[in-house]
Amino acid sequence: MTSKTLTNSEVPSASELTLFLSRYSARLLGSGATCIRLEKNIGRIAKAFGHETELTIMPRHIHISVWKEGATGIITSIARVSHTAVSFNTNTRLSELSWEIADGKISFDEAQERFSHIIDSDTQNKWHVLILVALANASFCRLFGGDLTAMAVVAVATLAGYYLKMILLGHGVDNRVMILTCSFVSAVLGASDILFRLGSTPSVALATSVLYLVPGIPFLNSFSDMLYRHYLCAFSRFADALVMTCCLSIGLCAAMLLMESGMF
Amino acid sequence: MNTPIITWSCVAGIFVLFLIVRLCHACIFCAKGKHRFIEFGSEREEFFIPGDIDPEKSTDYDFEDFDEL
Repeated sequence: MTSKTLTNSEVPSASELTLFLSRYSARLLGSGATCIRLEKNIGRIAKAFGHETELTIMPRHIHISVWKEGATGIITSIARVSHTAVSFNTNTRLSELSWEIADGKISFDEAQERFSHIIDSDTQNKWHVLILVALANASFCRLFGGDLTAMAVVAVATLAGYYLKMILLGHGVDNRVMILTCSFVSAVLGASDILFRLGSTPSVALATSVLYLVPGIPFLNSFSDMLYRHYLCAFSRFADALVMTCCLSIGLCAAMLLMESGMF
Repeated sequence: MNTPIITWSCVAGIFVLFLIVRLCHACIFCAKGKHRFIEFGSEREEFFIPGDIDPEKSTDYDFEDFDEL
């Protein structure tokens, strides 16, 4: 691993660095990173440029203060957390960027360019994602003991539900309404196994048809934040995840009620 | 008594109808020539390197790609 010492011309001013770090942190948190990840990455970047930082992470905003080691002036910025889809790809690449800066492999200007590139290039083929989500959910069905018929039913129910999700999100429909609608549609289609007596594990098909909507990452992040005593973010994420789970449950229960699948 | 089959038929029917409508829209969009399956691309599309100047954004009236090489 090679590193180099930065010359004075390569060291950004505190205001430039603050602006960059606020954009970086807003994006990183919006992409589903935990608070501890944010603190580590920001601290690493600032240290590489000879600065110190202090962060206040709120559920929707990040308050960042930057000052040069030994200086008295402090620059403070407040950034609004980006509203983007959770992306582990972006998380990984932004973390890599922080390590490249820390190792002295890239200058501040290059880091800014790289950051813009990471943001602009974070596009995934939605049709690939659709197919993969359907396959993953069908695999979940198998893990819970579903037979091949149940897997096929779950795959179709997931395809329909996820496709609806993409369309509703594209039209700016509220996240909660989207989850409720998609879970209802997927559960009704997932109940085909029960309705037409297709396979031997119809209840597994119905139960696993909505698993792709479970907000697993917000629950995990909330737990991680709680472990590191970021209680505000932890409770905020937990509440978000809980609301989403409630919406999912309402959609599922409505479908089960209408399909007379035995629970009610 | 027929609630499950009616519900299922409504959901499945609406969804299939929705898919057909979107497919028709996509076909009409393609038929209008807005999205050709095969076309001749520009040199820029084949030899673009990040950082190259976009000719459409250039203010020079006689801008040529090869001048930048």
